[in-house]
Amino acid sequence: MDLIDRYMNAVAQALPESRRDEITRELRANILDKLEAISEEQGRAPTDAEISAVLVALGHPQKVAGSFLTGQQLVSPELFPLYKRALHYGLILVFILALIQFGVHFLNSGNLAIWNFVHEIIGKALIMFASVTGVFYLLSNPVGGKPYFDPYQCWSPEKLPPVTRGWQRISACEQSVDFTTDLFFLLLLNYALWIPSGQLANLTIAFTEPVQQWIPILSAIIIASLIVGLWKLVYRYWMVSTLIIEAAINGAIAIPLLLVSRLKPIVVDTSTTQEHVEALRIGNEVIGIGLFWVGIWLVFMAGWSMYRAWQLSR
Amino acid sequence: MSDEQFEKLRQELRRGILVLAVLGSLRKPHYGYSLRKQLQDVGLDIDEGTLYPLVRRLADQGLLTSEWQQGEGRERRYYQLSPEGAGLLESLTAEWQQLNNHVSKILEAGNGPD
Repeated sequence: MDLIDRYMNAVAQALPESRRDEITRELRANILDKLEAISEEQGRAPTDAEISAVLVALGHPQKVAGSFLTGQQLVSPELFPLYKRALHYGLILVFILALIQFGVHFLNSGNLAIWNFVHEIIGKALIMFASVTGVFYLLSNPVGGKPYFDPYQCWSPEKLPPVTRGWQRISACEQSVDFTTDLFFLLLLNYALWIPSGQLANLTIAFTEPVQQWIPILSAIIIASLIVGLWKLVYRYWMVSTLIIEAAINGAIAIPLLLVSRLKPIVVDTSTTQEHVEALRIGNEVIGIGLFWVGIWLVFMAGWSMYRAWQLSR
Repeated sequence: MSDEQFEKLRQELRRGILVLAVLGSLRKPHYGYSLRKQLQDVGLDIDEGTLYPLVRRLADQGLLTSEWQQGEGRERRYYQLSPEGAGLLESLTAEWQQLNNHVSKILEAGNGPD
């Protein structure tokens, strides 16, 4: 009996309190029935080894408990694609938040705290993962068994994306990076609008006057790119019209970037101590070269989008 | 095909049929062990780890009624088809027979001349 008690305790431990007594009571009755059959067959009370063999045949206590709780899963197979998408959007959000923090820190101190950035991303990503999984656990295991809502209710074949070529699908990763980069640069260019005035006064780095003249134009183009980016995040496929808009946006961003890359310096040290002058000299070189090649890349991408639009319209 | 693949497909094939077999057996009241014995006697050997949770699940769905009874000095939970379960058994039996006919035709056609 000791073995059965130990087994039942182990099973009970893995069961929710609300169902514990009911399931263990029944399981114990079934085990005793089986032992009784062995006893009748052998003409004597079952030995400990026979009891142990019966319990082993029944299975590990946690497995047995789990088999009574089927239907309970972290995320149901039906909701899994939605769960993956939610995690994906969550990661974008985490990346954006970490980038903003990184940007504020950089503008305040002039230090590129890469490790802090990675640390922030990991910490926030874990919180996001736990939260999203928690929500989907609740949705996958509704109280009373009746689903709270059916996310796949509203659809029709006519609303499915008109994708005929593999490349028309927009990669989730690529689109996330594009969207995040756009948002980061929009916030960086317009830091004066959102950084608290107290912190603004402490900033030790600023764009030069000629660069600042480009900010409204660049911001307007980036906002347009973000709007198109939102559309792409939701629908995630290319059409001729979106390819042409993409080409126009890339071209429109490339021109100011190429022009700004020729301006020297791009950022200046505004601190009274002028302690970052040397670092900024190198920084300006790097930013200039970086902007130039980003501009060239965007020109290439604009051409590529137009080629794809031509391909698709044939 | 590997043994593992065969086992997986065999379990998938059996899963739905076991429900039908259990519902059919529970037209008369049974407790867990006696139900298993009855299924075994007709050639359906169901693992206890599968059978007992399956019976509970069917009871939770309202297809079985259950009652604790004292017998031979011990308590046992007896299960029997509920009216809802009986209706479902009838529909499932018709479906099973139809499926069995169709699949048999396909399998027999596969063995015959082209």
